[in-house]
Amino acid sequence: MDSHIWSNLFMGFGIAFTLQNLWWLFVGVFLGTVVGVLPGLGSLSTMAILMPMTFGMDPISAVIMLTGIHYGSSYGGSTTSILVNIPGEGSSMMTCMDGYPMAKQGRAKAALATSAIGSFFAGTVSALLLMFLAIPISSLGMKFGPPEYFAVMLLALTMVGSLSTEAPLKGIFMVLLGLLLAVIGTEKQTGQIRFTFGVDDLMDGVNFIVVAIGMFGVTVVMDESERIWRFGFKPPRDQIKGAGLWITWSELKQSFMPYVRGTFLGFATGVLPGLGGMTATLLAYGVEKQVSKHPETFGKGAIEGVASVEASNNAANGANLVPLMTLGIPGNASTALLLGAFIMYGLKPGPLLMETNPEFFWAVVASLYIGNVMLLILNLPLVNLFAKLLDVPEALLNGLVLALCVLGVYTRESSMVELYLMILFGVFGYFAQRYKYPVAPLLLGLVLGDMLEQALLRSMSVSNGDPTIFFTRPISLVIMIAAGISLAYSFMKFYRRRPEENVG
Amino acid sequence: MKNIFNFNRLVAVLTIPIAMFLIVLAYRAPRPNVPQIVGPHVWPISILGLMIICAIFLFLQTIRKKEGPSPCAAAPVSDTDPDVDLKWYRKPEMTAVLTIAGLLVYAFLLGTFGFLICTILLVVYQTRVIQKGHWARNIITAVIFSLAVYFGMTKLLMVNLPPGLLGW
Repeated sequence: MDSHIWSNLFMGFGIAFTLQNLWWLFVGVFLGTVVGVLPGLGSLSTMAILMPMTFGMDPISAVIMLTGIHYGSSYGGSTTSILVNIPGEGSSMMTCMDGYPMAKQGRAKAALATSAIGSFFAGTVSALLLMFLAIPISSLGMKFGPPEYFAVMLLALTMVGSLSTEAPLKGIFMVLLGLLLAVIGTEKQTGQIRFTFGVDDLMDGVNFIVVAIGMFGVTVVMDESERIWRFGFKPPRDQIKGAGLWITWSELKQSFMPYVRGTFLGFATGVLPGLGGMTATLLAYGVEKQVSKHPETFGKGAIEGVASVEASNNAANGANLVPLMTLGIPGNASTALLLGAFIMYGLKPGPLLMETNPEFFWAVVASLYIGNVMLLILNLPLVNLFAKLLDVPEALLNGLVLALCVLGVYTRESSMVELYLMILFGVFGYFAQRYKYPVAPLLLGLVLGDMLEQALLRSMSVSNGDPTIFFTRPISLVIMIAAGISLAYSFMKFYRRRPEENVG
Repeated sequence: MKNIFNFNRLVAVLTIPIAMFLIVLAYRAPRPNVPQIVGPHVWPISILGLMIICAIFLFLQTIRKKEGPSPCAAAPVSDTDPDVDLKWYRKPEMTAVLTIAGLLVYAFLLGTFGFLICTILLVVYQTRVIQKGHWARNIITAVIFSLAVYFGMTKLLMVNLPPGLLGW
């Protein structure tokens, strides 16, 4: 089996190393770094806005670029966390804890270097793990029938709905809303039209890109406008002396075990649906502080704090791809977008992907290695250049992002209905965030809704309408129990908190 | 009754009748000619049923809990909070309203004025929503950006964008 993996990997390198794919990989990781640096504009918004423009591209190139944005953004996010104490990405928040104090102490170079090296280490290890886990997980997936697929998708939805928020009831509500949106349009098996209310543009359903651009693009512009109006523009960044890159041998030795612990913790967290980069970084930081001989230094410039957090963040990003590529199950909003993209490119994500499109799978895996090298090269000498992006006037950026949102939606189908839907979801996303309704579960419900329904219908067809099929097949039973446990755990945790904490 | 407005309550109160209406719609939809073990109405009705249950629990939760700070306030309200004294049109939330208003006008005018003109106006407008002044910078950036995107899309990628008044 090992020689099979290596020969496939070499095939993947052969495809990823073409000029075209190298170019799009560079574009992806570069854009990912840029949006990671810019607070407010995340990898999710960028992927959603750019996705319609990739439809004319070769699917391998398109996915390589989009995944490059996905993991590239965590490199960029740490730059602003360290230099100006503002996380460029939500998952870079923990980097501020020790990264910024290090910069204030004149150790910005070491912080940036340890962050870049840790990200490279974790990114490479998680690509290795993806490679070795892909075949056993796909083999397990081959034993899946419609009931198992239904159960796995249900597990992903319940975990994302209940674990990714402090108010699980709201998370589940949003999952259901996403599933309801997925119902709109023409039902695949019978051709029945559902809930279109006579609007022809809705016959093919509500497109996930329109919803994503609305909720992650337009909403961000609205939020940023309000933030700037309320709190003013961000102050000019402090001239951090000694910005640039350098790390001493003893600092590297201090960072090594945090890299290792952070990577494995991040990977284990990232594989599970619903537990994103932020959970991974919180866990890694907590563990590192516990095992440290000098826990009192954490929060005051401990290099281990930066090393473990950055490693876990990048490992989680790589791990997110495992359930997506092997089972076709996304675990968060970014991978839900990628899943939608795979389907639009005519690919069938899941255990058969390695059999039907091995060149696609292995080219993406190979691009993870190449992309991490590109990111290390980009971030080591060019960190000051990326930091200059913070000088772009925020008001202008706001306007340009809004125009890009419109472009992303309109270029898809030139549909005015979709443009109005984007605006509607922008408003919806604004209120959802304000009142703490998580939007990622809605997107997941929308992307998985159709597949979930088809899996249910096929299961009922196989069992002649007997719903106990989900509980009589062993794999399906185990997964359904896991879904029940994750739901029960989240609700128990929620109700055990003091009532005044449960303001959600 | 103090503080009867609560966003969660509003969601619950709106969800239940809307979901019931949609259940009736789904149930009354004509059945397909081909017999199905599970018809196309079952899945949406199940989702809507679960949403009603969720909404009921959400409503009960709002009664059970102590009321937290007013959900309408994005920032804490205090005697020194400048928002308290602001006229409604100067409140921070108005920027979000103006953003949506700009987008709606954009969508309305797109067919008539075309992508290029509408996008230039949108970028300049949105920038002005947040920041006064810098007209030259904003207009030049908006024009360059919109021209680059328009010609890149229409000439290089062969994407159809409405030409509007300019007819290019």
